[in-house]
Amino acid sequence: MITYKRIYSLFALSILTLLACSTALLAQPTATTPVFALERQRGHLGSGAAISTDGNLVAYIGDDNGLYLYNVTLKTRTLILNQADGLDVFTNPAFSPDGASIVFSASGGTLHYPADLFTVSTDGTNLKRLTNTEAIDNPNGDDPLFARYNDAPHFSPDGRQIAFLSRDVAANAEFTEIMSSDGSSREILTTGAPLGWSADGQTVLVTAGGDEVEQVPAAGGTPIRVVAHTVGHILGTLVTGDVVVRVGAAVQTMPSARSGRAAASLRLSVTRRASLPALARPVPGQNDPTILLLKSVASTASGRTLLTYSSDDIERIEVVDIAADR
Amino acid sequence: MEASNPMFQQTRLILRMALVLSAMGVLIPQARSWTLQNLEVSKNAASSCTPPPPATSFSVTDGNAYEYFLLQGLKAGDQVSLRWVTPNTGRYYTTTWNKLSASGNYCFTGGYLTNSQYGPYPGGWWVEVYVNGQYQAHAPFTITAPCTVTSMTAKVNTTCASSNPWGCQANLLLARYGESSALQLQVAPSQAALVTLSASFGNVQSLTTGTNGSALPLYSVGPAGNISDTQTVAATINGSACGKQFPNLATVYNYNSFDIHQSVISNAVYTNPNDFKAAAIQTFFTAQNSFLANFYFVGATGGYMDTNKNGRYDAGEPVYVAGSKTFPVGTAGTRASDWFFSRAQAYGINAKLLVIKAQVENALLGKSSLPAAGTLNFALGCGNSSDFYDQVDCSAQTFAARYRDTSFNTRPLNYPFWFRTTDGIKHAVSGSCVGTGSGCVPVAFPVNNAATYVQYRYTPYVQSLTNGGGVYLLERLWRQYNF
Repeated sequence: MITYKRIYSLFALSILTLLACSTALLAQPTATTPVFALERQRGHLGSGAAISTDGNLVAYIGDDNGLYLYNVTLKTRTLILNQADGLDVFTNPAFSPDGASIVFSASGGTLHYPADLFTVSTDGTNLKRLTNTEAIDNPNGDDPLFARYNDAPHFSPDGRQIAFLSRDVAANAEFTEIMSSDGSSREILTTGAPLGWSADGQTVLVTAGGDEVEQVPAAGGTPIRVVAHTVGHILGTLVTGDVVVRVGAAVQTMPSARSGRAAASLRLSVTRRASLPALARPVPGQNDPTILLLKSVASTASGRTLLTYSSDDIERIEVVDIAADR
Repeated sequence: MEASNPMFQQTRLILRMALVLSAMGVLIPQARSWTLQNLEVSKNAASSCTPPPPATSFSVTDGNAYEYFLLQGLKAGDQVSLRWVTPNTGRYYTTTWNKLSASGNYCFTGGYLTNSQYGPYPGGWWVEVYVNGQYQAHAPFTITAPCTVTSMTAKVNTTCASSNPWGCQANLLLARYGESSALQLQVAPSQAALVTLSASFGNVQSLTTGTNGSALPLYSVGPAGNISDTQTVAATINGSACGKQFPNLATVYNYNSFDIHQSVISNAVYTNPNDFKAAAIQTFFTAQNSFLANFYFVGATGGYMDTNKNGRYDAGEPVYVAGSKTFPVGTAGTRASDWFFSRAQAYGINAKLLVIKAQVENALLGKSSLPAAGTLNFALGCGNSSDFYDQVDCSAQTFAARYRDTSFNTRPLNYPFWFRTTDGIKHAVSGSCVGTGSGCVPVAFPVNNAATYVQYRYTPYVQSLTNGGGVYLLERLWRQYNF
């Protein structure tokens, strides 16, 4: 069996080499004009977006904190869920593989409210709670705390499982957990936050410390480090399982397994100029809030890719078609 | 004798006045020679001049309603008649006997109303006796409708805006000693029905609904009771009608000790990003002997204590590492006071809020040495970041976003307190109240300004805690620091 340390060294070397000459070696997937773009001022706390497997549906958090569904083909927008029944601050929606339901996190936005995962059908029915975190004593004061804060869910490719982030504030630790899609059989997989599943559903890509990515067998086993100490910002994963990293003004993809493939460049703009005005005044010496930075990338088998750009004040969601050639 | 079929006629005013005066016990002098006795209504026809058992109430399941009375001193040619007067309509049925052929004393029996005649007109009837067209006397009786109530509701706050789920809660009463609330009671099918109401604490009226099935019974709490002032007690209002029970018509909470603590921070102060500038923040940190006076951020990576005050990270200086990344010696970070002020500027809020929040959440103002990474990573209690740098940003964004919640969505300034009927919790954290079977109901409490709303949204009020969260500690510190 190959040891964990050995794999780490191999990939660190290969990535460094390929980054140096990637432009010359690789055909570049290209981005076209967005087939859908939405910009909103971040006046409220909810955030996040997702694209369905077929690339036709986009789930996102609207200006009124509601969870919305946009049909790219029909160009229709539907409110799926608004604040009700105690749910508040929707974040990080994700589609089931069949596009029939959405899993998302809801919280109060601070540590004094529980953050739990829910699913809802795309027609707004069948709201179900998947996790139900317990209150714990707060060692630093009287305000309530909770045992775990659950966020960032990802359906497995077969739709049977959900990988998600559970944050243990008391222990200052983050875990990737896996549970059945009905909320049962919850288990800790590893430390770190989940980025997504591999295409075959056998492994979960997990980021730790913000600069490393590991491929962890969903059934348990030895993790493989696929990105080590990148100086870039990890943006997400593609449908291939490759990891997308923003390095300076460039966007790179890094193979998620020892495939022999090289890292590729994605011809994506790292920044966007917002068309909406900023909510607050620009602060001297700080970033212009109307300059939006690419924060996440998620692709589908159809080639459609969801991009999220944001600043403190404004969030922009784009759906683009990216050629899948290499 | 004869009982006429419906021959409704309008009652003459003079008769109506006479009836009223008679009902008041005033005797009306009459120029007459006859005397009337034993006027009554009965469920039985008299077979002789012996009065049958009198009856004052009939239902449609009863048979005919018979009259009985005696008249003495009648003369030949006198004619006696009756009017069976319906409730509230001024209409009546008549019974008229043939003119007498001989003088004498007579008992009159056999005039009657059928149940199909009186059934459609439940309420107070009376039968009037006339001799030669002159009113003599009357006897009241009541027709009761059959009780067919199949459902009963009792509601308050029925005008809750559906677009605002936390605006108010229908069918919920809040009761403090000495207070009262009106319920909107409705029975169906619509009918006049005697409704008996009860509550496990407080008092609620029992009454008869109108013919439209509605009534407004009053719920009240007396000046004293047997419930503790320190607990919220949930009680239900139950009803019964027609022998049927209708439980859980409405819920009542005692909120005798429930004090929301309104904020002293005005909206103008709250949204003034220039009220507490970087230099003033730095002076404040120093005066508090807080480690923040010498702390520098290195973005989301961490930070250091600039003990030699050269602005850079030097070997041997205490360091805070948020995750696994580190930063090299010589790194020049951002002074804590500058970052706090920067975030206040970026989000248009008063930096005092951020500074106090650092104390409220983790007592950072009172810490003279660098706290552990686990403390700093969640320093301001914000939910979607796990490093000190982003905690300040996240906190500022939360203060700003919650403030916008109060105006951008045209929401009223209400804060939802969640009550749970099953265990008497005065206020449960909202997320724990989600789902069928949670037993939670939201109740809107009006707040005096956006600052109060925001503070409760940041830190919920939980009755079981010593100080209850919400605005309590932040407002106390605001005064303590002479802000």
